[in-house]
Amino acid sequence: MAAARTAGRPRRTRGSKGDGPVAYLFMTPWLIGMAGLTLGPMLASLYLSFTDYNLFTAPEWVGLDNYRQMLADDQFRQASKVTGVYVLLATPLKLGAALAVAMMLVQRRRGIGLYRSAFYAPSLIGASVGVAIVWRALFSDGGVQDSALGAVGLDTGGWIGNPDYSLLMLVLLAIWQFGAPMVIFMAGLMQVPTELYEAAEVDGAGPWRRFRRITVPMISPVIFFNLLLETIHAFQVFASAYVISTGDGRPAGSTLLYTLHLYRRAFTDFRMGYASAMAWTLLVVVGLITVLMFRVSRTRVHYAGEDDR
Amino acid sequence: MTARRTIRSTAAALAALALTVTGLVACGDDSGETTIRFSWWGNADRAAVTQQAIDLFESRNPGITVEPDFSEFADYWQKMSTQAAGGGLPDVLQMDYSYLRQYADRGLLLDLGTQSAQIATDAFRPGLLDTGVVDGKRAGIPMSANTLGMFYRPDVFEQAGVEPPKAGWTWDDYHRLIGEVSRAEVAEGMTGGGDYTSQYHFMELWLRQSGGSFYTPDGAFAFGPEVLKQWWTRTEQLRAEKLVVSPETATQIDPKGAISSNVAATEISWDNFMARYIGEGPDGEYALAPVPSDDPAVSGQYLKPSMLLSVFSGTEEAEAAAKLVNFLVNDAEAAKILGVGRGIPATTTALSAVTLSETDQKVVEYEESIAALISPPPPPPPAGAGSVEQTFRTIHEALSFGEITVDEAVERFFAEAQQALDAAK
Repeated sequence: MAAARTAGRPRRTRGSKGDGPVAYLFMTPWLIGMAGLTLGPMLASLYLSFTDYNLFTAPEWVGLDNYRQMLADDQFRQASKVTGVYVLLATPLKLGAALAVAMMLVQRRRGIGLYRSAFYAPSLIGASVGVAIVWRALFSDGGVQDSALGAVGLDTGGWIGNPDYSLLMLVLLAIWQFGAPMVIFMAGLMQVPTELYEAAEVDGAGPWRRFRRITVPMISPVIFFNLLLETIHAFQVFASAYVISTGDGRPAGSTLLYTLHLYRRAFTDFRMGYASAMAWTLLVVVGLITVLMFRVSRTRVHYAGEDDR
Repeated sequence: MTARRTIRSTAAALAALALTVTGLVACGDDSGETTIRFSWWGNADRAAVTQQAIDLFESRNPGITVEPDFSEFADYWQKMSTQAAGGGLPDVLQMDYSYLRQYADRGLLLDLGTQSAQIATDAFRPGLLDTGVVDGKRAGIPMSANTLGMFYRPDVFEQAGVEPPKAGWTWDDYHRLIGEVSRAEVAEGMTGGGDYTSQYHFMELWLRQSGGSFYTPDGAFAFGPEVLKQWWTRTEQLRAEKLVVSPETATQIDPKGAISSNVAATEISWDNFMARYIGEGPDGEYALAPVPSDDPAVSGQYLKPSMLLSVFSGTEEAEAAAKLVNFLVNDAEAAKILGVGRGIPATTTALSAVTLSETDQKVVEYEESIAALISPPPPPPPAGAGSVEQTFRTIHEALSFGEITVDEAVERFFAEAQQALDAAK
């Protein structure tokens, strides 16, 4: 929609009217997909969230019952807690890793392209089932993590079977896939005028001060964008967690992410109404967090050129 | 000029649209003969033999075409439930015992009693045929059967110098034996057995040994909190002394069996898991003994259909579908092709036709050895039994990690499992 509006505007000023309908006509396949595959199902799920529906019999209107039941669902509470911890750990750590690597990779050196590709590669395969299976092997008893920690005297056993560490394993998997935010950070870093650094250096600012006072404010829009995107992604992680926890949030519910619980309620218990209510609750929570982040960003994010207006 | 360009671009857009739309509707029906869809779960090996059997069926029944379709177990049930929601199941579908009632209760399965002209029912092994009956209707025809047994590793018992399980042993014997093997420390991480209280099937077995059951005929729980507490307390001592497989290990080896992961010398399981355990390794041998029981005359065992075949109630080709069902369970040649990949065949005709490997022979011999102990099966589990099973296991896991007490576990089970049953009604 937004694209259509911006594309249409300059033409209209030129006076050639009538292309609007044609543009929409060209967009029809996409619009049909949007309405039929995204908007329709979303509205259907909103309706279903107020019903009792098990896929086999017609949905039965129950009002807010599903939402009320969530409060009494122990596993819902567990899933919300696990997801909260996961998002709070995975998002900042992933962004930190992405920024650190991006700062190293913006330098113009021979063969830097190779390094950039190498660091980006995990993001291409990281969400796959294959990697999740490898992850299980890495974190088993006698696996890489167990041996490495054992060598320095830390005996935790394989994290995969230890409820105290199993979530950390998923966080590490998320951090490892820092490629997408890294590329965006690199684009941001390349936009920072080098004169600023040169001037600061002349004034005697050290590396930390230059980072704190120049880099961070100059790329703050990029940081904000990445933070927003990665937070939303973190809430939605599913496939890798499904494989690693064998679909059940094992061990002892320690990796029971919200999406896993939702999937289980829908496809093991066939409580489609309840699962829809969970989906909408998640949507609202993520929406609220996004709004909150936009609010905070007004005072914290610096857009270059804004002051001129 | 502008007008003409508009027309031209409109036409182009319409053409594009037309292409998309025709792409969506380009599927018609042009065959004059009967086509039936047959869906089942399984792997590529099963797909190859099933296709061979289908080819034979088609050559014997000219005019009937079978369209096969298969997926993994979990995906299969998602697919079936989605198709059921859309109002169209395949004509013939492989059915699992725990889903039978759920599908039958919704009127989705044809009463195969109406197709008795097509399906011969005289060769079924005792007590098996009626496991497919829900509320007086023949909703499924068993294709293969299994029963519970005690798997053990003779080599580990020998090394540990402990006498292996044998007919007539009790639960106390089992607990003592677990302790003895674990303390012998034959190999690193080797125990006498896992915490068998994790699975509701074994609790059902234990309940049946004293004349009880897990579900009442109308699908409620047939036991109270006290009984469940007793069940989960049985192995508390073994857990505390770390004589059973630790929960950490149990999580890691999943979905493999404990006995095939070199961490347990015994495991109660369905006897057709023999082939699976051998496939999973290790190099050890597996033997089967009867399940423990405090009353040697009552073992609580029954022949459970490991797989059934059902026909969709909305099928337009009931006769052809029933023919296929009959062919798959009763035909000697089909049995020879299909082998025992789906479990030990449900009919004696099929059983005598299949070529049994040494492994299969062990399972068949085991079933023959306990034939006198087999009692009538419980009614098919209620809708929602699948989630009850999962809830049972999840709560037991929290218990075995020491995150909750037995009392809390019992309370949680009744709250969550009841919700699962209510939701499935």
